[in-house]
Amino acid sequence: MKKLMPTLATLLVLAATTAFAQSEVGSSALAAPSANISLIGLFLQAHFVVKLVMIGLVVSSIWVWAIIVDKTILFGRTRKEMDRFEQVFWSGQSLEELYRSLAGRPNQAMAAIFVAAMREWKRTYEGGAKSLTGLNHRIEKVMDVTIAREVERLESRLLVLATVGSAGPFVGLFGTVWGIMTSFQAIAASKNTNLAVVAPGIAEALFATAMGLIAAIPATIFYNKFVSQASRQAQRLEGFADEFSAILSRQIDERG
Amino acid sequence: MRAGLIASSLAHAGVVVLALVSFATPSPFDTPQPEPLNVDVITASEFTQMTKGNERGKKTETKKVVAEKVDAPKPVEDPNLKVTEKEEIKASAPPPPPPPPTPAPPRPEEPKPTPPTPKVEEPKPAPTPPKADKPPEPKVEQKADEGLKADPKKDQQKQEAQTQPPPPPPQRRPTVIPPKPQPATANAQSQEKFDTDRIAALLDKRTPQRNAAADQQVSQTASLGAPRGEAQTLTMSDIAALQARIQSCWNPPAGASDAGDLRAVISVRFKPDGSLQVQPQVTGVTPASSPYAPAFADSATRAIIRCAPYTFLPANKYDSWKDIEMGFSLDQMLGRVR
Repeated sequence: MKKLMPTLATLLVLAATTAFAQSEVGSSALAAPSANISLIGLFLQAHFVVKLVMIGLVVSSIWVWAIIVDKTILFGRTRKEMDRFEQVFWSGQSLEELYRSLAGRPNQAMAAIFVAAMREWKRTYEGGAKSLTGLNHRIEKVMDVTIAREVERLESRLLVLATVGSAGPFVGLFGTVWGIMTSFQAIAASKNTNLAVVAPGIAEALFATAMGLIAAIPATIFYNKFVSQASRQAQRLEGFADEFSAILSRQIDERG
Repeated sequence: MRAGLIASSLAHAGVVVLALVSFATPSPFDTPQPEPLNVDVITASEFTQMTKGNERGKKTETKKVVAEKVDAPKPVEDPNLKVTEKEEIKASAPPPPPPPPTPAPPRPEEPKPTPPTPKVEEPKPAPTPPKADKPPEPKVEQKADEGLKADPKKDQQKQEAQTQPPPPPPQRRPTVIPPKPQPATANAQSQEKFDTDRIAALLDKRTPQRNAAADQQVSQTASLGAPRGEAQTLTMSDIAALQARIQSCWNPPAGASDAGDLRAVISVRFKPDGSLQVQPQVTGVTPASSPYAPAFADSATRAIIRCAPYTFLPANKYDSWKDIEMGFSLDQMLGRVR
C-alpha cells in the first residue's frame, strides 16, 4: 500500500499536466462547432474541471479493479487454506505435531488462530503456572484478537469499493453539470443556438457521467459480494475458534 | 496487491484502446436533405403583373401554325404544274363542264343557252315571255363585253353572260371560241395523266407554291406563372391613390394628447362602382383607454364616407378591394393594413 501511493500520485500528476496542457486547446475547440467527436476528442475538448473529474474517475476505476482482483484472489486462497487446515486439524493428528509444523509460518487465518491459542497454552504449561483458572479466558482473548486481525485483513480496502460505488456517480454528475455549464456559456458567447454548437459540449459532459457509472457499478457489485464473503469467512473463523476453545477448555479441566 | 493493480491497469488500457477504436468516429445520422425552396426576388410591379399559371409550366413558344393560305398562283414553267393551275380555273366555273363536247361550237351552245334562260327567267316573271326579253339582254351584254367591265347587273345576268354567248353569236364567237379549245385539250391531257396511285396528289388543288404563314392561335398549355398570381391584386399605385384620396378627406381630431400612439383599424366594404356598400366598421382602436380613441375612430370613418365614391379603383380587380381593412395613424398618416 505504501508503495502504491507514490505511483498513484505520479499518475495523478501526469494526468493533471496533460489536462493543463490541453486546457487551452479545449477552450478554443469549444468555440469551434466543428469538433472532433471521437472519445479522445471529447476528452481533449473538455473543460479542465471535467478533465480532472474524468481522470479521477479513471484512476479510481483502475484502483477499484485492482482491489477486486486482489480480493478475489485473497478470498479464494483463504477459503482453500481453511479447507485444507480443517481437513488436517480433524484428521486426528496430534495437536502438538500440528503446532510444531505450523509454528514457523502461521500465514493463514485459521492456522494463525490455532498457533496463537497453542502458544498461549504451551506458555502457561511450560512456564509452570500454579493456577489454570485464567488460562481458558486468556486463550479466548488471544483467539479473538487473531480473528479480529484476520477479518480486518479480509475486509481491508472494501471501504474503497463502497466509496467509489456511492460517490462515483456523483463525481461524474458533477463533471456533467460543469461541462453543460461551460457549453451553455459557449452558446451565450457565440450567440448561436445551433445544435452543432451545443452537441459536442453536452456529449463531452455526458461522457463524465458515463465514466462515473463505469467506475461505480462494478465497485458496488463487488463490494456487496466481498462483504458477504468476508462475513462468511469471519463466521467460519469464529466457529473454528469456538470449537478449538471448547477442546482446550476440556483439556484444562481434565488436567486441572 | 501489485498483481491486482497491474492486471487492472492493463485491462483499463485495453478497454480504452477498444473504445478509441470502436467509438473513434460515431457514424453521423443519415439525414435526408430537404428539398430546397426556390425564392425569386421580384419587384412589386412584377408581382402585380404576375399571371396565373402553372408554377412549373414551361415558357414555351407555341409552335407556329402553317396557314393553309394559298398564295397568288404564279406561272410555273413545269408543264404538270400548269395543268393543275388551269384545272383550278376550270373549277371556278363549274357550269361549263357539260359543254365540253364543243367541237361544233355554234350549235350546241345555242340550244344550251335557251334552256338556262327560261329557267332563270321563269322565276322572275310569271308570264314567261322569254323571247321578248331576249332581244334587249344581248345588247346590254354586248355593251358590257365591249367595256370589259364587271357587269353592274344582277348575278343571274352574270351567269347568263358567262354561259350565254348565244344571241350575239356572230360577233362574239371569234373572240370567245379560241380560248375554249384550250381547256378541251387540257382536259384531254389531264385525263391521259390520270393515275390511280396519285389520286391524293391529283385531288390536291392547292398550288405547290403556297406559302407558310404564321397564324394566331390560342395557347393550350398553361404558361409560366405563379399558381396564385392573379394579376388582380391592387398595384402599389392603386393603394397609393386610395391612401391619398382618403388622406385628403381626413381631419384628425386636433388636440389629442397621445395622438402619435392612436391607431384605428376600419373595415370598409365597397360596391363594384366604388361606393360604400355598408357603413365603415371600426374594428379596433388602440390604445382603447385613450379618451380620444372614439373621436379618432369617428374621424377616420367620416373621412372614408366623405370621399365615398372611389371610382378610380379598377373594376376588374374588384375582388381584391371589395373588402379592405384600413389602418389610420397619425404617425404614418394612413397605412393600409391588409
